[in-house]
Amino acid sequence: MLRPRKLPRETKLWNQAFPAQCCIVQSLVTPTQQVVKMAGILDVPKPRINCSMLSQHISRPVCFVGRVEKVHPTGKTFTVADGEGKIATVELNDPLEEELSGVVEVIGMVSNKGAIMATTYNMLREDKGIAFDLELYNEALKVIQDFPQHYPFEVAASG
Amino acid sequence: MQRCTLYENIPLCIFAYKILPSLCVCQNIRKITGDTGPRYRLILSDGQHSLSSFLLATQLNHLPEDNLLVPNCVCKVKRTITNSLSDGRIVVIVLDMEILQSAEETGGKIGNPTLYTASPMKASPMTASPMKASPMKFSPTKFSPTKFSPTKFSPTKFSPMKGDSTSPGSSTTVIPIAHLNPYQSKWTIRARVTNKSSIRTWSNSKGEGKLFSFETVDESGEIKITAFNKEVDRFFSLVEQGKVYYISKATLKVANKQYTTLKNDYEMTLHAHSSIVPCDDSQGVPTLHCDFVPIAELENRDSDTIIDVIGVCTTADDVSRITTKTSREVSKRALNLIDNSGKVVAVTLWGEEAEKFDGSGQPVVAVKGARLSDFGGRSLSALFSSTVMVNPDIPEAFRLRAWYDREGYALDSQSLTETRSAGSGANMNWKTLSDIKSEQMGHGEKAEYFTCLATVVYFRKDNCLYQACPSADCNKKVTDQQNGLYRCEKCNREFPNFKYRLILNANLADFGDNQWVTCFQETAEVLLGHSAETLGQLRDTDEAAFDEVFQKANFTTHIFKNRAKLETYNDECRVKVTVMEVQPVDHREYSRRLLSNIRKLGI
Repeated sequence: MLRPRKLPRETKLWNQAFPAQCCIVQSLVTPTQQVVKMAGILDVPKPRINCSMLSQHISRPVCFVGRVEKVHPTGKTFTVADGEGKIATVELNDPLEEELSGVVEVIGMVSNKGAIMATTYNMLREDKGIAFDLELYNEALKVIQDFPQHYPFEVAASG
Repeated sequence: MQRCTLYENIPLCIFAYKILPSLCVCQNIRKITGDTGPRYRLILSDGQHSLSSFLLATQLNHLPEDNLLVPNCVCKVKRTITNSLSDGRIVVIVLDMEILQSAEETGGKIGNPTLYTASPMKASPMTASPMKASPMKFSPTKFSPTKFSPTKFSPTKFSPMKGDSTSPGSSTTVIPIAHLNPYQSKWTIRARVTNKSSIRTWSNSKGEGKLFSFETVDESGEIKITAFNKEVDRFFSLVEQGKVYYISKATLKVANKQYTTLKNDYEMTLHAHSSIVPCDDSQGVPTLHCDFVPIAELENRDSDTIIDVIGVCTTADDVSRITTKTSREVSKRALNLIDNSGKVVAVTLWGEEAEKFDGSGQPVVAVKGARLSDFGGRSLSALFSSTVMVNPDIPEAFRLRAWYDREGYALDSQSLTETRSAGSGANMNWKTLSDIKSEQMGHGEKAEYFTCLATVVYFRKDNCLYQACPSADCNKKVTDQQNGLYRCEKCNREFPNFKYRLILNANLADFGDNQWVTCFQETAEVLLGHSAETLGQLRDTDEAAFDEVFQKANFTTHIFKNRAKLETYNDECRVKVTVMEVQPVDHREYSRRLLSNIRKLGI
């Protein structure tokens, strides 16, 4: 599910113009390291959450499924609504290259402001198969939360 | 000390003309032992006159027994029935009374009442056993007093109903419906027609006939009345729904609960001497009483129960003609009703009601006495005895109309009646494969049916096809005569051909257990996705393609409806499971069921 990441031209120009002044954040976002970072997040358990659980997972990798609400004109951020109707913000490293709509599954880290810093996302196709029932998904999330002893995901992933 | 109201009139007349409730003082109580238990005779006074012709109805026996009704207490008589004895004496039976002030509080006798004597009759104290007044009614019958509650008999001991039951307003001895019983031949009831059916004809080996029935209600209860043949002609046009009538002289018999849900042990049949007279005084007679069930509640009711329902008709199908099993043609129309629980249910109307129903304008439709069935999950069917009211004049209808116009019309609600019977009906009996062994399913006398979700993990494809008799209804295995002919033992014929049929043994598995099952033709074809004929040909021509079919079908998950039964095969008892139906998994519905089961665990 690794999407090939094309570095935007601006970043390339920036690197050319200010090589010595590449900030630390910038150096983290070079292509190879980005791939490594993604691989990192894909290896660890990512609990599925909704908006009410965001605050309990700050600085942790999560998986958020929601319906796309609004896409910012820059394409670098968009809002999603979960099964309960609450809204969360997703921030991307690179602006969107495609039209985003319907239900998406976002994998990323939760920032301390409660936004999801997306590493990758996955659009669930609405034209194929059965429509995704977000409310039902939310009910399942609640069950997983209420009975962690029966859903030991963390243990399973690391084991 | 409170003086009770003084009446100039004689209490007896008050009771006769039903000016109630009346305040009086209990002067004296006398206990009488009757055939059916103790009865209490009262002497009541209004401060001026007293009268001893009062008998307490047995349901109030507890008042004197608990020392609530004692001499000198002030009481309010709420309901009475007046009966006249054969010798002209009048007895007033107190059906309902309330003690307003105890004897201690009253502190003694109020006034100095004199025993009242009215001119037409002597107010002589009743004899100790008034029950003997009309004994002939009871000796010939085989009844045992224990079977029927005493209250049913008490008024009858005093009547023969002398009053002309056809003239309302006179001293007609009207008895409550609740007191009707077959052992009493002269009575009159005053009741409102709540439900009138249409005329129904039948034709069987004994001949032909027609009937119609109607339900009536009064303050005490309800009863169903049926008229046959000639009585249909006499009464059908006279009896109108919603009107009150005096009805007398009909046959009472034990109710056939199959055809009615009214709360009465008896039902009435009109005969040649029956009389039905319209009544002008309908005070006190209740109107149609409906016990509407919210549509969302219907899921929790058992099927085959009789239900009243009210809702807004969102859609109505066109009327269609169906031929029933008895080769009768009947009209049918299905409509969808929604109510403020937000759920929709399909209601089927039949016959004339179906034909004349007009669903335009989304009317409020109330159905009284429809049968709930688990067809398609949950649906309702109007019976012969049901009443269908379009835009009825009742408060529930107005409430529904207001709700619908405000918000109901926009609701995208879920119908309890699914076209596929994968609805949440109680007949699904969901189990897991491990339950088969742990619950010893199929071990009883009858086969057990259950539904489960399972994955096929193995097909026994070696012997899944057999050659069957080509005749339409015969599926018996034919023997190859080796001369190009195939012999069927059941049809006792030989055929030049055969048809392939499937008997597929498969192993199903779920999270807990495995189970070997047998799938016959229809279910096997669904599982494999090919007809038996195609498979037969593939097996003979292209082995690889034949195997491919089973490969593709292997490890597919379905919903299986199964039948488990203990069977003996060569001295060995084994539970055999047969697949009755295979359906694709509706993941959303299954998820909802799992979530609901988890929540129900209550942990």
